Amino acid sequence: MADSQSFKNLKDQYFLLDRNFNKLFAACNAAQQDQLRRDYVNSRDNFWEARNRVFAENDPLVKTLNKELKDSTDLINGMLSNLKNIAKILNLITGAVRLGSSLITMGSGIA
Amino acid sequence: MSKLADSKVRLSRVITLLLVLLLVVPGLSGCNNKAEGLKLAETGVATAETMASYYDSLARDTLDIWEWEAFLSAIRGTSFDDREQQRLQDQIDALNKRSRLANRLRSTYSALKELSSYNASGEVKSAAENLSNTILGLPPLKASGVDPSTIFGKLAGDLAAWKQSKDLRKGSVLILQTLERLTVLFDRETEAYKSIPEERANKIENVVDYVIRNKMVLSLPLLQKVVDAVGLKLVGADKPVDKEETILGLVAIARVRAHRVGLLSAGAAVGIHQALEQLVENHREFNASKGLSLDSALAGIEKAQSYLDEINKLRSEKGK
Repeated sequence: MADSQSFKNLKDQYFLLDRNFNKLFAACNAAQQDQLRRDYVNSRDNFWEARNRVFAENDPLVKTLNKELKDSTDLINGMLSNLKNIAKILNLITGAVRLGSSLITMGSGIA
Repeated sequence: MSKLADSKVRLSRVITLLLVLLLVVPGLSGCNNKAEGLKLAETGVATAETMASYYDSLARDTLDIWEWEAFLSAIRGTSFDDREQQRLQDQIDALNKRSRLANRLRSTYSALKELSSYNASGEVKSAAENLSNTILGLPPLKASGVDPSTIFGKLAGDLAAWKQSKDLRKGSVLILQTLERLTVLFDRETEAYKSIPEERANKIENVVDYVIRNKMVLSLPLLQKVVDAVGLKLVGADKPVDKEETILGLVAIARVRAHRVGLLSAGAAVGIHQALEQLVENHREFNASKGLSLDSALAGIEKAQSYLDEINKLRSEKGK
């Protein structure tokens, strides 16, 4: 079956944030909560937009972005068991969502 | 008048019976062709029906996602603007159009089935034209990165040209072309299809977590089956749950139920894909006058249908 690594990585990131939103939110101060809200919405936008895009999976930049995206999702996943350093986790999330947005720009849209 | 109609019906039944008898006698020109055509058409009808049900199920999932995301956005304070909501409406439209395409395919197979029983060229014409019109109007899924127009190409025109045809094999060749492209479309979009019930399960999990934590539901009955299994009775089932570890456990049960629908739906996608691939193979066998091996296609479609039946059962479950 067809397999788009880009779609999967964007999905994994959005689903991770969706499933853990409440847990992360509870650990944040007011400013951090706003940051989390923005990241969640951007990640959701990226995933929904990915459904409209075709990715050149063999493109070197797409490959690099996918690797970084997957690594960052794995890293965030591993840090969820301990939210003491929430600022660090949030910065990691913001960076990961930006990677997702960069990947989206590499996809071509459908008319 | 009614006697005349009755005798016509009787005559028609006798002719049909004779045709059926002729079909089972091997070696007579065209007989095997029609018998095999009938079996092929019946398998095609079953496959197309299950596909239509699957797309309907995905469209319902998308509507659930839309409503539950609106709820979650409100309680989380996140934005969910018109543009984003329009995306979900586009997705529902695209899924509904795929369902319609599957229904048109079913009608075409039904016409082929009739053609295998008697020469119903009028029905073939109408069904083929409907199928071609649906193919022409098929939008991108907005969930797959696939543009159907590049896959179906000029097939719609060929189907529309299949008029007044009494040629089973010609019909089969055209349906084969539709099926081959439909299989490509389904294959390329499968990942997007599977993500829809998964996303829905996440929304359920989040909403259930919220309503349990805020004591808006009586959640202890989620444990009912466990205590029933050993003949015990729940205490305090008529009160909201307070204990954090109990809440975590109850949310976990709700999560399993929600994600099970996702797994069943993914299983249905695999079954339909298997059936489509096999049906393509069966058309090739039919066109080459080889014996048909329909078991695999039927197995795929039975598997898919059983998953969809289970999903419908889970959707309609109340308080279990």
